[in-house]
Amino acid sequence: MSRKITNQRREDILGYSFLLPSLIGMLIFSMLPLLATMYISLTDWNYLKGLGNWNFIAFRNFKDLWNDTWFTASLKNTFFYTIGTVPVALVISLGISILIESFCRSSFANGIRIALYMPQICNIVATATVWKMMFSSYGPFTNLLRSLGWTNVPRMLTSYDWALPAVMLVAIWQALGYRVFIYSAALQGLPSDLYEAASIDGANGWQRLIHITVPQLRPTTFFLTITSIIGSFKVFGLVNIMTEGGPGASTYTLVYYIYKAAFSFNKMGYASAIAMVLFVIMLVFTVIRWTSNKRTEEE
Amino acid sequence: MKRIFALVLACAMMLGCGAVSALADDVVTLRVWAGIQPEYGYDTLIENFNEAFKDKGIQAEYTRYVNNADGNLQVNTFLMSGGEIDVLIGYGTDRLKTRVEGGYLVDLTDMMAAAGFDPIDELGEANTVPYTIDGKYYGLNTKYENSSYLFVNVDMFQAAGIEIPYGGWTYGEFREAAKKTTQGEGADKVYGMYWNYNSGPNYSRGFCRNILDEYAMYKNLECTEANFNDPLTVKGIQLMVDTMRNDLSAPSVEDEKADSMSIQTMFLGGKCAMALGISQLRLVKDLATYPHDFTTAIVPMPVPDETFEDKAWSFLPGAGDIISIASSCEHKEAAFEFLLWYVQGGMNPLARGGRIPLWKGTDANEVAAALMDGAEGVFELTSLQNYINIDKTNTTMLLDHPEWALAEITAIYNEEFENALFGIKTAEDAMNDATTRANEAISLAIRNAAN
Repeated sequence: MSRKITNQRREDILGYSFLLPSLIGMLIFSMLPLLATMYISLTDWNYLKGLGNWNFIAFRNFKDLWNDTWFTASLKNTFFYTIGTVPVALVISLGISILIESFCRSSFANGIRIALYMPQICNIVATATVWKMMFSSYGPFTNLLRSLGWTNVPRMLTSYDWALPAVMLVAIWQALGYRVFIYSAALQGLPSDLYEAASIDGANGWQRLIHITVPQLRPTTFFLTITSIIGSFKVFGLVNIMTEGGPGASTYTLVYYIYKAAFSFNKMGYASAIAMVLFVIMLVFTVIRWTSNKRTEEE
Repeated sequence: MKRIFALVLACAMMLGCGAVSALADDVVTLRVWAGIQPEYGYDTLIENFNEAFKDKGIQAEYTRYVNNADGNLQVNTFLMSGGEIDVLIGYGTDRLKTRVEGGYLVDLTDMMAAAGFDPIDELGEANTVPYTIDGKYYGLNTKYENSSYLFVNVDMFQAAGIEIPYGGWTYGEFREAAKKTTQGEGADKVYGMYWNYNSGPNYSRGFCRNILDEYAMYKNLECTEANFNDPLTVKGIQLMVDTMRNDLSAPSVEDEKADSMSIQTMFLGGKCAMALGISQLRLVKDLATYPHDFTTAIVPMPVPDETFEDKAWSFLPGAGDIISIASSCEHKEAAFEFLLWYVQGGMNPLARGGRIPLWKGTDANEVAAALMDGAEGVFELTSLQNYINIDKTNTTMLLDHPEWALAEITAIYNEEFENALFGIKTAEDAMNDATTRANEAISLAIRNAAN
């Protein structure tokens, strides 16, 4: 018995020793900054004045946030961005995945998937710069819209109404490949007997899609929805390069405003308070995902 | 024998390495950072310094940083961590102040006194005293700041029958000239004016309010109330809005941004008759990179009306290219030697790119020759001569007072300024909103400082 316990303990120690490097990394690079951010959000720290040179001001930063037009605009824009990008991207990627699975031979399907995945691995600065050119007055995208009959095409990235949708369009295009990959993998794993049974019962393609494919893909869709929401709340690179938050504050997002407050206004305490708000939002979605995962495992 | 030979060889190598290392230890290499491409004068400047100071064991190497928000953030990070920058040429008083607050720059006051360098006497009171912080010098202005001048395409002005306004002009005269020189439509359109908002927003943002001198930002010297809704600022913005949206004599800010317009593509590309952004004078002279066959005149920015004529040549700010020594510099004496050398004539090679030294002892002929070098046929020489002979002390700039929430209220002004240029709000409404928002930010900053 005692020998068994010793072996068990030895195995535990071995297991924990494997975990240790990543545990240390997580403590240093995730937990410590998180705790530091929590504390700094309660101070008036200007990072240029050096570490520790701050006053404790309790929850004043959090109180001030709600009277700050930049913060409220950022919050509103981030929600709009999420609501606009996540469902649209999911529907398009599901459609493309189904088309690929239904009509393409294996090697051709792989080629399309890789092509769609390319924007995901491209440098975001390069991607954003090319799209800026595409959206210019005589750029290919603007000319395309003109040729489709839109005579007075707005300057997408410099329009108060169109700048955010233009950034969202790029974000949808960029993330398409990843979602298509995930959906394709899920589609390949669907049981074929369900489709055969439905065909025998006389179900047409649309009915099979609505009553078999979509419900069967529910866990994948849920996973993609939650991770996409979390990803879209973190949007920064595209905004910073394509619009710099403008025109006005029409494309300010939470992470962009965190960057601006911290490094332009030097208000690290205030920026940390915004980061904490973002953290709480992300935490809610993460908990939803955990709960769902747990439920799926139990089922 | 072989062993002895190997031993001798090893000793010789070790001694040799030691000698090289000792030599290397004796030479101090200063890392000089500025925001200008080396080919516009810094390469010659560094070469001259290294030649002049090689016997003293001081050498310098140049690093160019990009003078935008991200580039300056990089500079601040290097200044914080130390070890990369010894001498810094910075741009903008707000950045100087931020860096001083962070303790990243050396107080030069005592070093200058010990060296017998009196900045007020050497560089002019208006270019030095207002830039002190708590009465101390952390940086010295080195060049005459030239943001209030316009490039004018002389050929287009002549074709339109407009005289070059050497002595200044009013908003009305300027607006008419912009209308007269506007031609064509669509992609081939040539505009009268290019405000250069996209690549140099500070020029146009400043133009609208700089005429108010020390009251450009705040209503009082305690800086407790913003002054953005002053009628003169509104009038300046209205002039821009009129050219962009009513007369269509200047590209709209939407077009400027959407098409990434710049001095290179617009003015040097022959797509406009006038352009703001004269600090890029070096580009006009660079015919190899930007070939063009017209002559450029340099004229002052317009003033609201005749009553402001005396302001034509004296918009603020009056000086720029602030040279400082990083607190983390390990060779402060050597860096100070570089600083003095730079200010007292060392920077003359930069004149060929349009940077006119402030130092009173500057050899005017040498600077003029450098600026004129390659300028014949490129510049209208009378206007260039006027530009060189400007009274460089007639400027106003106050820094040594509490500029509450400067970064925030600047961002607020910029945002509302854009609202006016985009036609989202009238110039007056935009500036009233800017003032209200800025006053709220100032109140918060004062409250925070009190706690």
